[in-house]
Amino acid sequence: MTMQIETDRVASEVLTPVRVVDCDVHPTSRVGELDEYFPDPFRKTFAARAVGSGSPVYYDAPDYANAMAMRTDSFPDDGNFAGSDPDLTFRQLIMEAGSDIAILGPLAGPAAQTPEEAHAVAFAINRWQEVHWLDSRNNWHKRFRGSIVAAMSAPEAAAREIETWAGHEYYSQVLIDAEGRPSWGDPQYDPIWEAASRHDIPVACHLGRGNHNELPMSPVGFMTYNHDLMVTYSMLAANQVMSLVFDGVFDRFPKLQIILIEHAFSWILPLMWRMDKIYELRGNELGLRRKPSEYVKDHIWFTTQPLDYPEDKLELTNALEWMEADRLLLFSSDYPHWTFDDPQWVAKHMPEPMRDKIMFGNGINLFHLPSEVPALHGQRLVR
Amino acid sequence: MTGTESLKIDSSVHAYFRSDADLRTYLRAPFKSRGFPDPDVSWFSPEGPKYATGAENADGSHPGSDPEKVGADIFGEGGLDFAVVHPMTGAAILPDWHLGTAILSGTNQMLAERWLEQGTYADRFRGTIRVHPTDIDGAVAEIARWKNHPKMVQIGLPTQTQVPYGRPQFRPLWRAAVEAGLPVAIHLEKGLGVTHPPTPSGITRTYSHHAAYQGMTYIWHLMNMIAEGVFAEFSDLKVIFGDGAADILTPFIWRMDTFGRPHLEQTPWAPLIPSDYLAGHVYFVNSALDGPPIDADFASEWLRMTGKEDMLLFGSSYPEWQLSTPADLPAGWSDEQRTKVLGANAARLFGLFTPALV
Repeated sequence: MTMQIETDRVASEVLTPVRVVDCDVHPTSRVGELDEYFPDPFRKTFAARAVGSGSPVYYDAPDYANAMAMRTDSFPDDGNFAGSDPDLTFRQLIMEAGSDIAILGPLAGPAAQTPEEAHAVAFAINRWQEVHWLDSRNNWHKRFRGSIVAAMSAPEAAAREIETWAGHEYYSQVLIDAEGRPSWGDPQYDPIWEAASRHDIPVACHLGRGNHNELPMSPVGFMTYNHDLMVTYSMLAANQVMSLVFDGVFDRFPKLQIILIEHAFSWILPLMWRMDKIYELRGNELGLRRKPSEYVKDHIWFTTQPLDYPEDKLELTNALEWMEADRLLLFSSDYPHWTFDDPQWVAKHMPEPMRDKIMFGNGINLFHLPSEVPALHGQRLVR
Repeated sequence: MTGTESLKIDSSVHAYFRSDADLRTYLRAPFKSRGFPDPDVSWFSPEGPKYATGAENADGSHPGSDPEKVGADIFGEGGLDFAVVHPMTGAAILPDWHLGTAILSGTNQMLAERWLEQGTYADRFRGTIRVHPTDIDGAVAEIARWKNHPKMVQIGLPTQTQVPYGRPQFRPLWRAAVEAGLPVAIHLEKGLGVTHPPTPSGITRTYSHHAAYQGMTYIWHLMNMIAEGVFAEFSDLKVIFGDGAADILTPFIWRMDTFGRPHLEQTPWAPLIPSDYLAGHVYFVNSALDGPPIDADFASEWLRMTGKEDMLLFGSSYPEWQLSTPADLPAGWSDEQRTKVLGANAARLFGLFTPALV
């Protein structure tokens, strides 16, 4: 069901207001598509390991053998994986669901075993992304924005990667993972925060699932199922928030903006209380310049998906107001993953006075996006 | 309002030996001459007082080791009716579980002799049967040894474990607790031992971060126990999370439910929606680090959400530096909520009634 506008690949001169900025969209590479971008000698290493290798999945999402943790309608007809076809993403997410601008967070590539490999993967994804998603053919509609993937385990190389791509018209954020040790307050990561701050580009973090003690592993050992693992995954992000605040990262980098993608968010309300309480009880023994919750509201963002809602919707509304959610949230759908949240559905759950900021206003400001984009005939309008 | 509902109960008073030498009087060979950590170690110690002002003993013995002094502070100054005493040790995370069980067994003996069977406040103190989570047979035997003691009201386990409490190896422990009719209190162990790092990202850089984070560790135990079907199998099991942070339950159980619906097909041994396993199974001791802010106008509504008002037990953590008093509880709670947290919830849970001395 290809539409005429997709065949023409010409952006309209008529502009339309941005109503939805979607901060969690996952492109992936077609089979073999990424290989040419790996620098030597990693190309050979990754290829050799891949020979004869099967599924690495443990902690499986529901019905994994059939759905592979994806929306089952998001697999393209060519046999490649969900999220590998820019045109299908455009059709399902932009046209049909009504996300106006999609911030792409590529999770492609092999599992890195060393910091050097992690950087090689990031290096390749950034170049692949530019050619296969952000180029004038695939991004003719100007609705895709990319991520500068940066390897947290190789901070100097990651900072160089930020230098290389910051300022590129269609790169809107730095993308890191959450699982490495130590936590983010350690000065070893300062080159990344410094480069991002200098270029006024936010640093986003998506779950990455490492291995062994960086799975993540809890302080009481490993969880048993995908259910308890994924729910408690937010404790990893909660720790990173505490580390950023208590270790003074925002005092060192006052312009730094952090986005926590898919880490859930309602836990930040009691976590802010908790941080403020220890700050008060210990008499600011860390020498922070501000109260912990103030750093959170000025420096840290959370994406809405997964939207965890109680039986009584009023409880969610109250929690959003108590946490000042319009200072914390950015809409996200998580397309094409099975946990996709539809923008119209999320918009309805946001308190009306906060809705526009969460659905698009905060995103436009944070990513320096245009407030109007070329109109698309036939696109669903979220209101 | 019945007499029970007006009781004031401190659900977490911490007891100690007077000293390392004192503890060794409760050990036999070969354990008596072994090396093991003091409850107080410098690793991630607060840089400042470890114990509350006024809790120190004149003779220099460890704070919380003199039942007369503790009783006077809790029942006299504090005006409480009962106190559940939870001895703090480093024994339950020792790699040598023979040694760990020996120390815990001696601790239980000390608690019974000094706190529950003699002294001015013996009628008001209630005790904890401390057991080692690696030594399931030893733990079950220790529960059998004490379960008929009229003053022992709970079983004590460490928060820090090598595997979460949902694992099947703990079933005999839950069975013994249920058969003894005793709730299980899980509390952070002191000292040092074989534990994973306190956060998924390793150790923290500061004490503030460490102290604020570690109280939330129970989340992993609770989510794992729900998914593993512990509460489905042991319908009478009651668990008390003793490190505070009950306020973190609300977002995590929302997530557990929302994310849980599609996942229930993977765990038919835990068929209910996760939050259904909370009421009557899960309790929390409050802590000085808990929210919301004392002056929050939504404190009452927040306590009601996800049933926390029926789960929360006031506990002072005397004599720790994080000591909390009833005056530290949020002002916005309703009278009924305050009555529940200050004693009614604990009275029902521990089976405590009108005190002998009022």
